Amino acid sequence: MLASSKEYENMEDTAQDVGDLVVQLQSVSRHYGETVAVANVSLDARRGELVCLLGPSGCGKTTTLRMVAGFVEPTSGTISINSINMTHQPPYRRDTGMVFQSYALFPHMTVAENIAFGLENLKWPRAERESRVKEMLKLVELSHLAQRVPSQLSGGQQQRIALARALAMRPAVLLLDEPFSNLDAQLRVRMREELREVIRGVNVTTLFVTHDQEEALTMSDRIVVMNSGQVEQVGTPGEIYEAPATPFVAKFIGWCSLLQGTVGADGTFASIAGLRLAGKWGVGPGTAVIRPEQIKLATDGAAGQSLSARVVQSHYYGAATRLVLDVDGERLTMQERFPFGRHPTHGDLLSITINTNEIRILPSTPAKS
Amino acid sequence: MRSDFTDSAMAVSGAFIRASVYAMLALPAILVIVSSFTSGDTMKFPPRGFSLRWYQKAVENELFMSALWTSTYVAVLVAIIALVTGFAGAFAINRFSFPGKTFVQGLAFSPLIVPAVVLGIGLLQLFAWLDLTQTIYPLLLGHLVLAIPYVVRTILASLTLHDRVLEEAAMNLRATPLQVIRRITLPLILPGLLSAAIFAFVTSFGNATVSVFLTYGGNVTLPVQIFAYVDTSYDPLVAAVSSIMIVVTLVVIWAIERLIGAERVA
Amino acid sequence: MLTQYAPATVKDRYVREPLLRHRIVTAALLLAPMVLLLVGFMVVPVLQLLRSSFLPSSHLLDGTGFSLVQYVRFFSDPYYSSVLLETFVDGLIVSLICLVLGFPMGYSLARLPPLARRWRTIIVIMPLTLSLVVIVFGWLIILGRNGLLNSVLTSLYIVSSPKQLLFTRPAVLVVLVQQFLPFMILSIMSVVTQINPVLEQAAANLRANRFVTFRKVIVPLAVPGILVGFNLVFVLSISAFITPRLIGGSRVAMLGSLIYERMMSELNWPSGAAMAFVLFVSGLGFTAAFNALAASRLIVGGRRYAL
Repeated sequence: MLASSKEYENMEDTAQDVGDLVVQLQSVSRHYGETVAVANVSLDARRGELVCLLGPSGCGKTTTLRMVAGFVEPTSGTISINSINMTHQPPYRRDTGMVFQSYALFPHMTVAENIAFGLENLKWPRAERESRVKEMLKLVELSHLAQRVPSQLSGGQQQRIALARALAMRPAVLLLDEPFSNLDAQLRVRMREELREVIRGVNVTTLFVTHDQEEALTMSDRIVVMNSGQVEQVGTPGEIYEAPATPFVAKFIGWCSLLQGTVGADGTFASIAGLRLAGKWGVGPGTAVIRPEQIKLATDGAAGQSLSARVVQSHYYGAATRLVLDVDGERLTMQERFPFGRHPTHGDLLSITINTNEIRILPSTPAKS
Repeated sequence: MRSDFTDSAMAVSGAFIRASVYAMLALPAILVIVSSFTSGDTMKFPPRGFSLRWYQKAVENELFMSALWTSTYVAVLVAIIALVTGFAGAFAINRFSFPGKTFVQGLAFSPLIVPAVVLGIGLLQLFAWLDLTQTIYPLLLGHLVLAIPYVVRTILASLTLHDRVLEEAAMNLRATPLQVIRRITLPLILPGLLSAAIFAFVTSFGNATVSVFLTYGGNVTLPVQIFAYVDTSYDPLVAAVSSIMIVVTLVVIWAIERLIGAERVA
Repeated sequence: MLTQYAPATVKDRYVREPLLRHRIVTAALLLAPMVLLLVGFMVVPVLQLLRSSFLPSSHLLDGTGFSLVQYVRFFSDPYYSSVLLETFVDGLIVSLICLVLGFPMGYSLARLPPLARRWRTIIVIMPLTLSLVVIVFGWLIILGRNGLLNSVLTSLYIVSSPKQLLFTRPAVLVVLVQQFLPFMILSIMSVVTQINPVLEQAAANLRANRFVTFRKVIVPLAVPGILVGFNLVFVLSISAFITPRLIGGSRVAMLGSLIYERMMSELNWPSGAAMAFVLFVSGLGFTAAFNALAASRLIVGGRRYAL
């Protein structure tokens, strides 16, 4: 395999710098008449990296992915793959492999024919085509289904075949468009782990679109959070969760309470309603991001710092109970496991502490509302 | 109570109307077939005896048999040509945006609303002027015009139902546009294409209203021959010939049913 | 064939896809055969016919010149006007009967499970695919002096001797209804298929009985299908000539059969052409007026409910 298919191994035969950019978007915009679907988006993916485009529906993430694949032409900006300008190239000249949301397996071809389709178009010799199909089926552990047609496969199997089909061509970049949205909740988690493993195994650069923050956090090396056609923040899952750059990112990733207020000269944050948080933040107006896990029930020793909270809503989640609290006129969300039969209900009074060390205040800037 | 009464009144009257309508729609064809097996010399109901003598007469009848041949020959040509031109047109309408698209679409469907007499006379006059009335062209081109709306409609429906994402997937797998059409689009809409061809065939094969003006020369089609015959006489020979037409048509409907489901005709 | 585009330089090849650049040309090439066919053998003949309807001569196509004599003759003769009116009234009656019968048919077909729908649909489309002359012949067997209907009526002693059923206007109308009913059924079926049955359940849940649901939910949403079916049946009925000729004989005059006579027996083409045009244009005008009326009355309301 090493000698014979060397020429198709584009992953090995070009530069191997870790910092090598496989996909690069520079100020890419897409307008549909008056509507702006994607505005001035710049992003990149390094070799072997799994980059996730995350955002609510209609945020332009799918349009961005489709521009990389070549199905949508950018109104302005450039897209390059492996440092070659691909902005105006048709899809079939681009070195991408895509897994579609609906999988888009060809219903009139068998599983093996589906996987071989791209290789035929790349004019691979028959023997290598066949061995590659076998190899890919083995990779996704579906060798026994080679002669089935897509309608005979389950959703999870179809998804794995779609992945095998996209990877068979050894594309420079793998594109995944909401790959788990058609699967039920349990299968989704399993397929997520499997997919992650396969992608790691072949070490392919991957661009991945989802609206599910959990998917994004668990799978990606880097996350690009998008909103209304624009990039809100780019960072590792940890950075995105721990250090959100904007209130939108904070709100979109995980649960949190956002409090508007000002940081005074002593570094203490005072919310509009009057909740005060002692700390050492920079002076000026800002938004405090408080995660549920930063709020704890007060223990007896910490009497001085505790705050009094009234339960407004109580949602039982099994492993934990999520409470919406009224603290000094502000609404805060916390999460806690209570002993059986001791769940707080509406109107109960609790004593809580807030871990102010971990709380971030996002300074208000005129640009971002 | 009043509501319950309205509901059941609607249910009962609906069932009655449906049963009578199905009977009315099927009756003429059934009667033609039943009458064709009569052993009597005249059309009478109920028919007398059972024999195949009128079928024998029909097969021996030079006029009807040459007309059957002409009809089949023209219908096959119409099916092929209409399929090719109609597919190209439907594909352009479905996949491209160009100025005057609504107009072209309207043009493609307009043979449905031009009265047969108008089209028939117009074509007769055109071909008289071209001095081509003695040829097969008037029939062929007239039937082609009539077949286009059915072909375009059937193929457009197939193209619309066809999942475009499959074509994007093929392009992502490095297939060029022509390869996509050949390997993905055409195989997937094949049932629609075949039905379109069959529609074109039936439209041509059964047409009398336009053909009647265009068989000025020697090429008489079967429906025109039957029309001419029934206009002057009325005997079981026509029943036998008509039954042959009914059988051909039923085979064709059955084929469409198997291919795309008959309800897609609309 | 579609990509006659030789790359001048390598750079060119990577700039833009030729198929995208020549989209308009590709579309034009694809459309050309169909458009040429329709223009050459439908638009041109119809226009030519229009031209010859202004010829003064009354035989074939000899003579030149321009005159309104054919139209003047048509409209000044009360006979023709009455035939024209009669034809339109017949067309309206046929379309209305088709609507009344076709709605329950099309509705029930759309709501049936696929298997039950199958054989019913075959019965419905049979008259469309079957040659018109065969159907008319079938009706001759039913309506003839020694036909099915007369033999049933006499054997049940409803009538004492066979009645003359053929060559009457009701007979012509019945046969036209049977011929064109499938168009109505299919257009209503296709529109009802697109109406979500949940809407009916919602209406029932909101205490509407079947009639109210039908009148306030189904009909407004089915208006486009009703219009298509109604127009098609109307246009086909007013231009029918084989059915009036064979079923109605010389006693039932419809414009279509008059035109056929004028052209094929009397060979008076200019006059036939003028009559054909009166038929064509008045038919179009009528359906346009009808559509405009329906659009203003129904579609606007229907849309409002639909969205």
